[in-house]
Amino acid sequence: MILLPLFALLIGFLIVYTLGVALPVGYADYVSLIILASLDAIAGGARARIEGNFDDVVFVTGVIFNSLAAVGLAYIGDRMGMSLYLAPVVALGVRIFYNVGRIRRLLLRRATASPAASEGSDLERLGC
Amino acid sequence: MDVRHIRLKMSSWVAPITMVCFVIGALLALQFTTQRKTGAVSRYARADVLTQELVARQSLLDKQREEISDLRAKLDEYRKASTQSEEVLTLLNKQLIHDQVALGLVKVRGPGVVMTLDDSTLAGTSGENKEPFLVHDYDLWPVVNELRAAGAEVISINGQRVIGTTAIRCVGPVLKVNDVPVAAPFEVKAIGDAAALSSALNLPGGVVEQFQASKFPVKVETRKEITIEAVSVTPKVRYAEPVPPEK
Repeated sequence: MILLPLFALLIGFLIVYTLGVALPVGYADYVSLIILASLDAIAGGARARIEGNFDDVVFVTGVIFNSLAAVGLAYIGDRMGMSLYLAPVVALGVRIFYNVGRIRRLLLRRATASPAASEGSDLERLGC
Repeated sequence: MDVRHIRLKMSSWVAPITMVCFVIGALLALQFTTQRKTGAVSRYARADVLTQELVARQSLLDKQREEISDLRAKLDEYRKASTQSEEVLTLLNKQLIHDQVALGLVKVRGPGVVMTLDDSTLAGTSGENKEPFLVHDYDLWPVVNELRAAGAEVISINGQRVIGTTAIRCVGPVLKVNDVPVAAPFEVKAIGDAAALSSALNLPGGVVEQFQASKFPVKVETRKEITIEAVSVTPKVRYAEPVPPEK
C-alpha cells in the first residue's frame, strides 16, 4: 500500500514532465510553497496514520488550506515588498522535521518494543 | 469484520495521500521544467539583456559608420567639383578643411603629447575593493579638460577622437568614448603646442601628480608628430537649427 503514493508521485511527475509545461518564473515561489505545504501534509498524515488517528477530511482540507494560506501570505508579501513567503517556508519546514522526527521515534519504538506495547498510552509520551 | 474495518481504514488514508502525492509529483515536474527553462537565464538576465542591447547598438553603430563614409565620399566629390569650377571657392574650401579638422571629420597629424595611463599598481594588492584603483571616466575628464585649456586642437583617447559631443563615461565595467568601449591602458593623444600641453598636465598638483599619488602608472611624452583618426561617428543634428542673422 505504501507503494501506491510513491507510484502516484512518479506518474504525476512523468505526466507533467513529458508535457513540458512551464510557468513564468514569477510563480515559481508559489509552486514551491504548495509543494512544501503538501509535503508537510504528507509528513503529518504519515505520523497520524502511524499513531492511528488519521482523518481523511482533516488531511485533505489541511493540504488545501495550508497551500492557500502559504500562497496568500507570499502573495501579500510580494505586494507589500516584504519577504513574507519565508514565514510559511520556516513554519512548514519546522513542522516537516518535527513530524519526520516523530515518525522515526514511533517506528523505532515499535521495532524495539514488544508488539503489545506498540499501541496505547505510551505513544503520548513520545516527543520530538 | 475486523479485516474489513482495517481495509476501510487503509483505503481512507491511501486515497488522499496518493492524490496529494500525485499533485506533488506534478508540481515538482512543473517546477523542474520551469527552473530548467528559465533558471539558467534568469541568473544572468541582466547581463543577457545588456549584451543584446550592446549587439543592437553596435550594429546600429556599424550602419552609421557606413553612412558616414558615404557622406564623406560625397563631400569629397562636391569639394573637387567646386574647386575645379570656381576659383572663388578656394577660400570657402580652406574654411571647410579647417572646420573638418575642428569637428573631427578628417584624420589629422601634428605635434603634441601622448599620455599613457594604466590602472593603479595598488589594484592587484587591495583585496576586494579595486574600484578606487581603476581608471574611471572621472579620471579622464580632467585630463581632457586640462589639454583643452592648454590649447589642444585635437584629442583622442585610445584612438577615439574626442569632439564637442563626445561622452566619456563608465558603463558597468567598461569605459566608453563615443559609445565605443575602450579599456586600460589608456593612451590620450593631443595635438597642439607640445610644450604647453605637457606642462599643463605636469602642473604642480595637476592631473599627472594626482595620478602618481594614487600609484597610477602615468607617462607624458612630447612628440613631433602624432596622427589622430577621424571621429568614428558624426553626431546627428536633429533638434538644433541655426538662427538667421538679425539685420
